Amino acid sequence: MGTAKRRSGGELVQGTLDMLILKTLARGAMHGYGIAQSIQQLSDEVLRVEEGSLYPALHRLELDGMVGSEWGQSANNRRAKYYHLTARGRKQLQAEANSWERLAAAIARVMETA
Amino acid sequence: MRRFSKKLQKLWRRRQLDRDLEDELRFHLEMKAEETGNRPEAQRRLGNSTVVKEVCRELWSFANIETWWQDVRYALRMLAKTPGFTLIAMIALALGIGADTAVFTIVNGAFSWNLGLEHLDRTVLVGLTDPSRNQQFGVSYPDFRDLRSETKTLAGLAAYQFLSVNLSDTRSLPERYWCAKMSANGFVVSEQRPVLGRGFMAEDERPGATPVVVLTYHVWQDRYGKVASILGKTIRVNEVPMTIVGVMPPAKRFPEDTDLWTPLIPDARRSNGPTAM
Repeated sequence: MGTAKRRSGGELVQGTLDMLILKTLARGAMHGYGIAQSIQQLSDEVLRVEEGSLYPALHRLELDGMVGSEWGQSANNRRAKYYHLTARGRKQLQAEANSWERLAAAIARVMETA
Repeated sequence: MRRFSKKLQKLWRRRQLDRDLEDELRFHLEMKAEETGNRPEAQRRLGNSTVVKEVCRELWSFANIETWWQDVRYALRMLAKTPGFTLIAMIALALGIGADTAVFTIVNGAFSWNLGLEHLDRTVLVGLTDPSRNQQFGVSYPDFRDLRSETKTLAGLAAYQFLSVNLSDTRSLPERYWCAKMSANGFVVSEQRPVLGRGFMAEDERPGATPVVVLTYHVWQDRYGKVASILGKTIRVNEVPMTIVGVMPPAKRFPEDTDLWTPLIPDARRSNGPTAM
């Protein structure tokens, strides 16, 4: 039971992490830790984003010009790197959200007929 | 391109990039430790974060070029360390390349010669193959005539046949020459234009036509002293009187090393066929 539960949750569908990061940043600039927290909370603790996949993804998005970054002060007065969505990233988010919706609906239709 | 320029910017601030990555991850883990209250766990994770830093750093670097450059420097260091080995290796390479070049030069000089054709890339030799005996032979005259009238691929198709002839006249001793019997369009197909007189005309290859002959430049020069009045003179080729109608320019000796040309006149009785081209 325990293993089954862990397997069915937490693991992200391939390629969706970028979309989730972009979506989270659409609500405002945030540091890496905040992004991970936000995804975890909004998914009712189902999705866990570890630093091992989060930071490479963030840096890749930054290289591709999807997000920008600057250093600022965190709420508890620490130096933190804040990421924000760029115009390019916004467009990318729109495209990925559309294709995700289509994909999810298609999978749902297939599963309903079974 | 966007990636490239961003990487370039970071290339000169590699140390800054490393420090930023370190700070970013440290911040993440400290926040986590504060939230969970599990400081040892956070410490342990910070150790593991080397892998994360490595992955991120690779994203920002020109990983391929940088490792390649490391390899080059390593190779140079090793070569400098063993000068004796390096010297022997260089000598072996130099000799090998030198021998290779020498052989190529000799072979190239020995096996390629001027065919006397302008457009070798658009010239083909047409022949027949007997697959049962894997034997190749020329084309018979009737076949040549059919090929010439039916072909859509070739701009022109000419035929020639080689034979060795005795050339005699009233000037000097008879001489043995190579003669190419060639269809009248041969000079057009091989793009040869005479320096004196004319090439062949369609009438020249009709059965019963007045026999004519065209000379190469070197025969004209060596045997007839480059006299222009040679045109219209009669010489005997294999005891057949023929009228000299033209001379071809120097270095134009197609096919192969022919000395003179006569028209290829169709003969129903001939058994061995000419080569088409």
